[in-house]
Amino acid sequence: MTAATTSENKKKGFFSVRFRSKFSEDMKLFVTNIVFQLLCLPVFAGILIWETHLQNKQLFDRIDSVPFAVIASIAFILSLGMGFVIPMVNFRYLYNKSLVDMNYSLPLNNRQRFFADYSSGLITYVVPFLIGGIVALIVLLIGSCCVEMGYVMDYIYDMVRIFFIMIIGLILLYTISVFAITFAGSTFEALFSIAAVNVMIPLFIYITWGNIVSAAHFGLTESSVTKNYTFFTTSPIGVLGFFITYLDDYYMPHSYISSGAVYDLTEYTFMDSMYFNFIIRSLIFIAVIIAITFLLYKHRKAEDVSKPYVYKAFYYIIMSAAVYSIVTIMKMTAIKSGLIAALIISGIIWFVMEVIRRRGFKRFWTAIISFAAASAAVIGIIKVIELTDGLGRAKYIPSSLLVSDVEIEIWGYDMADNAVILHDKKIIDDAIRLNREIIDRHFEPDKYSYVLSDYRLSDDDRLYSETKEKNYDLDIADIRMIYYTKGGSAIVRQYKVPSEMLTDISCDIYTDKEFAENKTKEIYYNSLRREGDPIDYLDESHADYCNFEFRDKLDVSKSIELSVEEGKELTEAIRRDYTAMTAEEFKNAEFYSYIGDIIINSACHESLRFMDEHNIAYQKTGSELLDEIDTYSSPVTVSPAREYVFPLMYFKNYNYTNDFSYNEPSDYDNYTNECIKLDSVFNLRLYRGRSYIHYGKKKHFEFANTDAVETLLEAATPVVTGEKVLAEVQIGSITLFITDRTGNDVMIEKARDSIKIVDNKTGEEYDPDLYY
Amino acid sequence: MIELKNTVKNFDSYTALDGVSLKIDKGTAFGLLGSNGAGKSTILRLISGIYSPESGEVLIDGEKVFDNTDAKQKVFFINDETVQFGAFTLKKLKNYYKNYYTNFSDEIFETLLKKTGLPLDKKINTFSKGMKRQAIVIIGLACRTDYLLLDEAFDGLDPTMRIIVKKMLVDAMLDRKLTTIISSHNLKEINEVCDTAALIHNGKIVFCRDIDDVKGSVHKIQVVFNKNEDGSVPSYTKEDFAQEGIEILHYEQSQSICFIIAKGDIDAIKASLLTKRPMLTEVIPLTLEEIFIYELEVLGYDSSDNIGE
Repeated sequence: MTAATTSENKKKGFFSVRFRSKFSEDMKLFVTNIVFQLLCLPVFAGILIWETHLQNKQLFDRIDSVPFAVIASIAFILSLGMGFVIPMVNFRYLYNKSLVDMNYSLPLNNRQRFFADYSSGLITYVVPFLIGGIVALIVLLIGSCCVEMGYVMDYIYDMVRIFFIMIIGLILLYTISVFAITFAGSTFEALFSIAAVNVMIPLFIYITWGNIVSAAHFGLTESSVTKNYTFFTTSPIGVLGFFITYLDDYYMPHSYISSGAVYDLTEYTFMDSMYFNFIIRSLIFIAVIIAITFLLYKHRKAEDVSKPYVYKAFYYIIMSAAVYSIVTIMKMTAIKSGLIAALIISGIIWFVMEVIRRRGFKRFWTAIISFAAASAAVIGIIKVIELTDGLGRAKYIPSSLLVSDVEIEIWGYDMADNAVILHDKKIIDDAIRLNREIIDRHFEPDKYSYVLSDYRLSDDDRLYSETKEKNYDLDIADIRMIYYTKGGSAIVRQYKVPSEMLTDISCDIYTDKEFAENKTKEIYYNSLRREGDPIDYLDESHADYCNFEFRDKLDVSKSIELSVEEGKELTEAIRRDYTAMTAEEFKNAEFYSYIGDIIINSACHESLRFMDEHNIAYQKTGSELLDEIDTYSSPVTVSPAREYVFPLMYFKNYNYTNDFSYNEPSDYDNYTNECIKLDSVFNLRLYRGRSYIHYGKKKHFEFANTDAVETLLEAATPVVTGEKVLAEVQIGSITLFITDRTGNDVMIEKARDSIKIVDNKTGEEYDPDLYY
Repeated sequence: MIELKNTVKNFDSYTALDGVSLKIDKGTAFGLLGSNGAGKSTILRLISGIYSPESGEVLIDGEKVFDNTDAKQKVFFINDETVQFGAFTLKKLKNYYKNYYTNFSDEIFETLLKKTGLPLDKKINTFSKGMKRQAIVIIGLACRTDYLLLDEAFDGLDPTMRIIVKKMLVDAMLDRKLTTIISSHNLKEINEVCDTAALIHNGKIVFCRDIDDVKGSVHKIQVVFNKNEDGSVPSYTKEDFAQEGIEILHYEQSQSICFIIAKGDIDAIKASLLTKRPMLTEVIPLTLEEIFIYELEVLGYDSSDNIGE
């Protein structure tokens, strides 16, 4: 027992001995790296302070900090380069016979030697960055004592989080470098392999996804790559991608707050979980790479010191991935002879590398065979992806049991401009059900029958030109669904669908407890104001009052000021209303107005009570609405008998919206297909992107029977939840709907008959129908 | 004790060691002899745990040496290249090795340093080849390992320094029963330092014996034959003597005088020669180098043939 313990202690001791001696060897690199790092983040921190100072002084045209920014950027690039240099120096003995002898004969086992060398290099590489970060933080803190930094200092915590993303990137770069060094056979091969592995991993993932999207574009989009943890967590380039996405999706919403723009609380909540998922996945990947590297190192023999590529398989994997990328990229160009060109280019690169690797033409026929095999494998993989509809990805939807959150983004008819991320099982089920139906409509078209319109998409003239007989409206909504699985994957699907298909999911989202909670918080925080300060404050302790923007159905807004307590009470009432409201109640309720982008309707009992108690007008009469219309600048038209149509090709052929479409037939072929006649539409927002006739200053509208028009305005609503629409009322750019309810057809006719267009100068009257 | 049991070591398709078995007792000064590429350095690298054998075992005091820190603690290997830590000073190099070898003796280091007169604070890449060799030898000795392996130990040393290094080795062997394994082409030095030697050829052990035994078992005999009755000189071939039971390594006849290099008991060889009624038989002492050359000649490694090519 004692002997065993002593032996164990000795072994541990040798690791630390090796670590210390290796770190002592690395000391010069460590100091060099510290110099780079001190010239990097602390200088950037100094620049931030200086720029803030200039902004405070309103000296916007000063560019004093540019030379320092250049120095800091160069230092940053050089410090990144240390990710190649440090491992090359630390493991250089693998390529030198004498050094192998000296290192391998020391009383160390492979594990002690590898992990000591790896750790000392890692510390040499990462610790200076940490020091740089800490110094930058100190610079910022000291700077904030001298310069009013405003909101910048609120984000120290976020900066620290971003700093850790950068650390992950550095560790990944260093680890991949050690991995490449371990399978290479010489310094040149190691440098080539480090660069190749760092580029090939993200490129391979991206290219493979490109091939899948190309083979099965139904619902798949290349943006999946930008939501793909595999892409983010497997290479420094991927980490850079995550870093940019993080700044864009996470950091930017924070800065919006300061400028008074919409603060998207749902995205904020999600990025928290994405961040930790990223950190954990990256660390797992790093651990896997370290384990593989150690196995390679352990089985690498001392006598392999002069061998070209000790583990040739990795060399051939890199080269095959290069051929795969070249062939795919050339395929993307859609040039007919692209494949031949790709093979020629790949062949040249392959054989040049083989000559270098073999140090000549020794047994060169094997290089020809290996290239032929690699090319065949690459073409085979691409073919398999094509023949299997992108490996079946287009049909794949995760089980609801596997999904933790779903992100829904709808363009055009949604409840907000931003994506919402929810984890309510009902919403997840809705998304999966909708997705399943869309997929079924594509892959099992026989299950569905459609009533076709006589409208042709290629006939552009008929689209928006209204006639007495029939008015066509192309009803296409875009929906993106991102399923975040419990395992941390993000599965992205994007489709074009008729708006009516979104009714159920949208109404369920709108009446979802989590959505209501986040949305009302968002409205509340965005309403917070401070006296005499144009900047909004997230922190309610800084706020003096709340400012809510009420908008009616004609988009006329009115600011209502409440105390912070009242503001909170109102948003709480809205939250309770929507939490209690069923989707059916939401569908059947009468629209009153918007607060922010949330609808106040007849089912919002508590909110309405609050507004009544505080004398806040939330519903306008027809007469009040009519008074808001400037008939000299806004046309008022009623277009009955609309036919909403959806191109059938979006179900039958192609259904994705990105530009990654090198195999897509021409637009002409797509747009000559049939259109489906739709029974109903769905809309929650005020705008629907209609074009409208602008009369300039020559004509204006007059109403012969104002009662009829007022009645029409009272009945018109921007909110349609899967109902048949009898007519659209266009007031300027605002589109309101008259749904198919009793008496509405008569009301439409009365209103239409009372609308006249009158020449401003002559007083001559025109029939508005002429302009439909 | 160091043991190699049926050790095979391949470098791709080339077999460097082909079933080598060897035992080196503690306190032995062991010389490894062999032609270039015979496998001497491979044996040293196997013993020092740098290489792992394909089959067979390499044991130090009964423990497998590869990847075994305890076994490697007992061995210090000095390879045929000069020391690699050029940017280190000797002091730093000493501290480097001192951390790894727990028995490191500063006292021995200081003593040997005085003997060699090497500068302690100069960078090693300013040293000459011989100085570098001295530096690593004194560190190797100061590490006080049980086994010291020297590949081409005396390369680059001037004659005086050779004597000093040899003396250092011999002192260590006498003081603490250091086992030294020396591979060298300089057989004179092996002869001077080692008590046991092994000859390796094409990855196999040709012999492994006490050097005195080696010398005693191979003899160079000068024989002068009487002329025949018709006045002619008798002509013999190698086979004529082989029939007499003499193991001939080399045979050379010029007129009535011939030189025989033979293996075996000298008295038995002399007795066998008597059947040829020699006028004179004289045993001439052989150097280790000559034994090396004649042994390898038998195995087809003939210098005269190679030169002829």
